[in-house]
Amino acid sequence: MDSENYIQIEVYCQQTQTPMEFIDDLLEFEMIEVQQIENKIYIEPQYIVEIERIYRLREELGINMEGIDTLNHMIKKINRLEQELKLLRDRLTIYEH
Amino acid sequence: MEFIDYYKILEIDKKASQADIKKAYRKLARKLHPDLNPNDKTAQEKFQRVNEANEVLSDPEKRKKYDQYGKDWEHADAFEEAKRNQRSSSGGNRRTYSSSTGSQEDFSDFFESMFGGAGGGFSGGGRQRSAQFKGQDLNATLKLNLLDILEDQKQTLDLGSKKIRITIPAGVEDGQTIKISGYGGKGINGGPKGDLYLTFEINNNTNFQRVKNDLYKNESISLYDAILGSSIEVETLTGKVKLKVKPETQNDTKVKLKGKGMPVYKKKGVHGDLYITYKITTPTKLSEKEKELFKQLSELR
Repeated sequence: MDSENYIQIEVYCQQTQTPMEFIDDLLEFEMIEVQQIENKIYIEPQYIVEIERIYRLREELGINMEGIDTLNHMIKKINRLEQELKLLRDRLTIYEH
Repeated sequence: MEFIDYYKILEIDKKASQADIKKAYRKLARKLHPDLNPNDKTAQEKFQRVNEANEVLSDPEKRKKYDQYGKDWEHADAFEEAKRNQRSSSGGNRRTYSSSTGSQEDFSDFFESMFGGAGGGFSGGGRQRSAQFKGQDLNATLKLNLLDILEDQKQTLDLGSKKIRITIPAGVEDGQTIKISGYGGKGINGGPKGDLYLTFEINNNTNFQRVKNDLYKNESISLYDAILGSSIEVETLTGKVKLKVKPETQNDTKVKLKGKGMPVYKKKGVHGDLYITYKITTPTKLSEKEKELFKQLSELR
């Protein structure tokens, strides 16, 4: 990834009025990764979606970080199961014809 | 355009207090929030309606207007009046749930005719977050026939504000989503642009069943071809091929035609396989002679 695309965390927090402590929480729970370039901390744009999603879950639904971490695992599991279900459904059509 | 019963949507009584509304809204939001239902369109649509119901009922001004004119929404005069009055009303201290899918702009016609659109005067007040950064992500669905994806396909997408040309790789899966970076909404406060998520809906307009890259098909063969062996023609996606049926072939025998399946996504020249299952049809309406011959055959065993 081109380093020009990195977003400085402080700028992000300031522009979006996101508390810096929230970013610290995300890092503590290993939900995002950051890059350090010359004493400044940057995030890759791909993590913005994740930050905003987790912020919504926390602020709008009142779920704490532990709950979100658990949810993330469950959502991943559901995705996996949905894929498996689709595969099984497709396979079933072979026998229905 | 239909009347929408916001009380019913929030599953509350017409006499519900503000606290009841808030409670009902939060309860439904925990169930239907798009971040918790990423692949569930029904939940997302329901969520939009719940959001809309809350926009109206949690604002005493709007609730009053809704209670007063709601049922008679067809009476344009009353609506015009309502709309005029609405301009001066301000948004209270409400909070709206949001999502990355742009649901907030997508209020019903009923809502818009009564309150003049989601972008109207009231939306400024209590929105959850004053500054979003990344532009809004867009979601779109592209419907294609199975026969359309046998080769890479160039297609122009009309996004309303602009058109983009994309190449759809051969062999794309039904339900597969691809991300087209930077084609979503504009970034806010210097943030990056949103992305476009394109989901493919592949309609299988063939007699083949598709499982990932492989195709399956049943082929009927006569009892005599199965017993004595034969040469038959079967259809594939790329034309007919000849198959040798071995003598004494059993029912449900599977034959694999290598490379006659679907093209493999992003692997040029590589194809899945086609599986043909033989279904033996036994003769019916036998003549007396045939019956006699079968009897003789069975006695030989």
